[in-house]
Amino acid sequence: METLSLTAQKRDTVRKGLNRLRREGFLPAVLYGPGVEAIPLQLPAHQAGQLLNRIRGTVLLELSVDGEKHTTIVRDLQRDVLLGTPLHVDFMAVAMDQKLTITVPIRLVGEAPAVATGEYAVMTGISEVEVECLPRDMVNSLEVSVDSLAELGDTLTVADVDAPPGVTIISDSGDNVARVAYAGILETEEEEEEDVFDLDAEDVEVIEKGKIDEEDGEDGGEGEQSREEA
Amino acid sequence: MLMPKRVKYRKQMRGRMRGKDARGSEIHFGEYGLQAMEPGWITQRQIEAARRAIVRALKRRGKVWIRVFPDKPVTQRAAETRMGKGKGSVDHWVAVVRPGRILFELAGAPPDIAREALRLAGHKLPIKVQMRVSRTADVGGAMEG
Repeated sequence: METLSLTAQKRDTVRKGLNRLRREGFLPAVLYGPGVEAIPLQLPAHQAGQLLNRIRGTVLLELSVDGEKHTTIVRDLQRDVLLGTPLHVDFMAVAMDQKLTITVPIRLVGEAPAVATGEYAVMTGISEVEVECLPRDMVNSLEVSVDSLAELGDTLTVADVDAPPGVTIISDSGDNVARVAYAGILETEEEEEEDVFDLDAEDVEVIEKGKIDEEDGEDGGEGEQSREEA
Repeated sequence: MLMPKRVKYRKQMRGRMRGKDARGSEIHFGEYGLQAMEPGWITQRQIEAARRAIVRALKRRGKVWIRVFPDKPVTQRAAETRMGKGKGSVDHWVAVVRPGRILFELAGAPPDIAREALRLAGHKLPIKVQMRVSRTADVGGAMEG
């Protein structure tokens, strides 16, 4: 398990002024954990961004705050929806002798025989599982082979994910990880062209006031009448 | 072509498109996605044209999800009519899109073909878009421009 290191400073700017902080080249962060009171932090954005982009899954991170060292994991990372740059990081301090519950990404490896025909595709289900382990046993990802997916309807569940020693999967073992489904693009090209574009935008039913069921009249008058009757 | 089956009110006001889309901005179903970078109205025809471009480029391999739905009516006054006499009749339907929104998702296609399919689809749309890769396709969630 690799351990990375980062240096952070305590941050005075809280709530307001964070965008200014970001413009000045800092990344706001917070450190918390068992036995650690929440400390607002700021990190050099460029250096922290490069490191956070390299991280795959959950890794241990040695965080130095004004000379004091903490062993942490990245608990949450907010990113800009368009640029993907980090906006805020949550670091959680961990004790090396206490078990942690973390989410680990599932990586599908291999080639599913069912996909070879082009008629079927492998649909992914959940992409992460919750595991419990000691910090030294943490894994970046769990691999699942899709080589067994040969026919339509074949599925892989969390039970098919092999956890290394020291790691216990706590997600529901029946959760779907991957399955073979119709690719869904089976229409013919002749079906295309103009006819689909000929729909009239006005051909939409308007839910009338006082309407009780589908079979009532289309116009407002009947709707009014049915309301009066009711 | 996508349009609602029934609506509560036949006509709507135009509204504003401020800010970024916080919802619908992550890839949920497929491996690759097409993300809006600008706000805009995407018509039912544009959505259909983009979907067809993707299907053709994929050559019937893979699966496509459409993550937007044109549920906003746009009205148009009849040609050569004088002003007044009320709002025009519904002409077409649009999906209101803000930056960040995932418009289409794909799965089951090789990366180069998926990229090409989404590039072609992007040319059918009236806004700037970018391709995104999901966390499962590349563990850790790499982003591409």
